[in-house]
Amino acid sequence: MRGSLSGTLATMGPGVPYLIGAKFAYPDRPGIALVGDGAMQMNGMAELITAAKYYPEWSDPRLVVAVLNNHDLNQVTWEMRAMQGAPQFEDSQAIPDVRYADVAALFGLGGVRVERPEDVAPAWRQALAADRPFVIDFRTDPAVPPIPPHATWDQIKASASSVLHGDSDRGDVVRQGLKAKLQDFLPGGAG
Amino acid sequence: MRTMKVADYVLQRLREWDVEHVFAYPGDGINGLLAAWGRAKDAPRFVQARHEEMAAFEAVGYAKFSGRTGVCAATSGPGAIHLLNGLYDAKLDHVPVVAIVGQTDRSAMGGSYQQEVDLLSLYKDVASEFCEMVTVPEQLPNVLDRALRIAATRRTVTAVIIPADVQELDHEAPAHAFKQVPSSLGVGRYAPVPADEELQRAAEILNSGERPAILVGQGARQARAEVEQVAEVLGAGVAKALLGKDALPDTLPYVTGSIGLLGTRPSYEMMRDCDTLLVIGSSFPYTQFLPEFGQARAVQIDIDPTMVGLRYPFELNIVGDAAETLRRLLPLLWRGTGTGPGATASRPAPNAGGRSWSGGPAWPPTRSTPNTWPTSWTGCCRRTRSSRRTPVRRPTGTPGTCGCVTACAVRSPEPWRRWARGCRT
Repeated sequence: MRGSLSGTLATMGPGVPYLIGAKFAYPDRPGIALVGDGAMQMNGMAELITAAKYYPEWSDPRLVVAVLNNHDLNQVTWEMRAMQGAPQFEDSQAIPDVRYADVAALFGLGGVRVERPEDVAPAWRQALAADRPFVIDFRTDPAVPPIPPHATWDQIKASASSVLHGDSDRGDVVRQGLKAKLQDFLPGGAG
Repeated sequence: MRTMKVADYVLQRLREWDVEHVFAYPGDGINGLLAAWGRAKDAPRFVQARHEEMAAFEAVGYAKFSGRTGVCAATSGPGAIHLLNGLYDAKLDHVPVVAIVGQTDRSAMGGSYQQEVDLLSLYKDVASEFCEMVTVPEQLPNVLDRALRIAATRRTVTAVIIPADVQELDHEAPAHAFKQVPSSLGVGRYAPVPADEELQRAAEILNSGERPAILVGQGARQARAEVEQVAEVLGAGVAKALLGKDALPDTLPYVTGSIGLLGTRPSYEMMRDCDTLLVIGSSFPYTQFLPEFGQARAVQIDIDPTMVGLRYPFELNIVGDAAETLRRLLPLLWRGTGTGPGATASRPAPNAGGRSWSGGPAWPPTRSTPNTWPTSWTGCCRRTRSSRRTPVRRPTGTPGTCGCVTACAVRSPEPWRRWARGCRT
C-alpha cells in the first residue's frame, strides 16, 4: 500500500491529479484520494473529467475520490482559532455545498452522498466495487476540532478566546472538542 | 533517410529514455510537438489534463508512486505559468520531474510579443538545477539528456524551453567538432555510503541509549526491512513524518504513528522521553516535537548532503542511502533489554556492561504497552498512551487511514459507552 501528499509545499488540490498520475503508473491497482471540499472545488471537480476520459483504458477502473464536505476551508478556520484566537471569518471560510456525487454522475462516473454514520461502510464498499471512478460525498462536521496530542497553553487560550468572541460554531466546537479529547484517553476502539 | 524535425527528435529521445507518459496540455507554443506526437502515434502517451497545473500534479503523482521521473509539457506563456505550482510541489518534496515548455519564435523574442513571457527568468528558481533553452538543433539530445539525468539524480525539477520555430527545424545531431556537445543515455544505479568510522561513531551513540527513538521520512521508504531490523535490535519506537507514513505499517507494535500537531500521543511521548534519536530520510521541520535540546544523543542519516544536519542539533550527520547505510550499521548494534517489543536478553557491549533497563514505564510507548489501560478515573485523567490516530491533513491515496478519517469526522458513538466497555475488559 502506498500513500502520498503534498508534503513540503502543502498546496491545496493535488489529490485527484496525483491519483490520476498514479493510475497511469499502476493501471491495475485501485486508488483512493481523500479530498477536502475546498480542494475539490478548486481542482478536483474539473479533473474528474480527465478521470472520466481515461478510465476505460485502465485494467482496474477503480479510482475513488472521497470528499470531506464540511462547507468550510476548515484548516485555516482552525488555525485562526488555535493560533490567533480569532473566530471564524465566514466571508473567507464558508464555501457553498456542492452535490459532488451528482457532478460525478453528470460526468458519467459513480457517486453517492453520505449523511449518516451507518451509510459510511456501504458507501466504501460500493465505491470499491464500482466499474468506474467513484465519488463519495461525505457530509462531515466542521466543528470537530483537530486536537493535537499535546495542546500548548497558548493554543488552548486562543481556541477558548475564539469561542468566547462569538465564533459561529461555538456550541458545536465545545461539544465536539470534549468528545475528541475524551477519545484520546480511551483505549483504541473501532474508530 | 527522411530527416526528422526537432520536435520528432524530442519525442524519440523521450522514448529512448523509457518515458511512457507525458502529462500535458496543448497550445500553439508547442504545435510542433503536437504534430510530432501525431506522427509518433502518440508515443510517449500524451495524457491530457484539464489545466496545466493538474498536468504537473499528475506528473508528480506518477513520479511519487512509480519511483520514475515524471514528465509534463505545456505551451508558452500562460501554459508554462500554470505548470509552476505543481513543479514547486515536486521540487520541495524532492521528486524528479522534467517540464518541456514552448516559447514564442526566436525572431519574436524581445518584441513584447503575443504570449511572450521571459521563461528563463520565470523557471530560474523552480528549475534552479537545470533550466535551458534550445536555440539550435545540435543542442539536442544534450539539453534533454541533462534535464532527465539531473532531475533523476538530484531528485528535482528541470526545464527545457523550446521556441516554436526551433521545433520545426530539421534535427542535426551534434558533430565530432569544436563546441559541439554530444550526449549519451542513462545513468547507472548508485548509492552513497558513509565511511566506516562514521558508522562506528553512529553505533556508539545508538548503543549508548536506553530509550531509543527513530523518526523516518520518505527517504526510508526503500529501506523498510532495514529500518525494522534496526528498530527491533535497538528496542526503539518508530515515529513517521507525513511523507514517510507509508514507509512502515502502523500495525507493527513499535510504530508509534505520525508525529507533530497532527500526530499521535505515543509519538509525542516517545520524543518527550527518549535519550537517543535516529532520524532516517526525513526533513521533518517541527523541531518543537523532537526531543528537548540536550535530552537525546542524535544521529541523522540522509542521502542529500545539503539537507543533512538540519532541524536538530544532531551529534552526528551521515550522508548515505538509507538501506545501504543501515545494512552496514546493523552488525555494529547490539540488542538492548527492556520491556518494550523487540527486546531480548542482553549481551555485553564491546567495552561496557550490558545495557539494562532501569524499570519504569515500558519502552517504546505504543498501544501494546501493558500500562496503556487506565485502571481508574484518576488513571484516565492522568496521561495515557492510547494510540488513536489523528486524521491526516490533505492526504492522498492513503487507504489505511480512510475509515479513521471519516469515522472521526462523521458523528461517532457516544464515548461513554466505549469507556464502559473498556473498563469491563
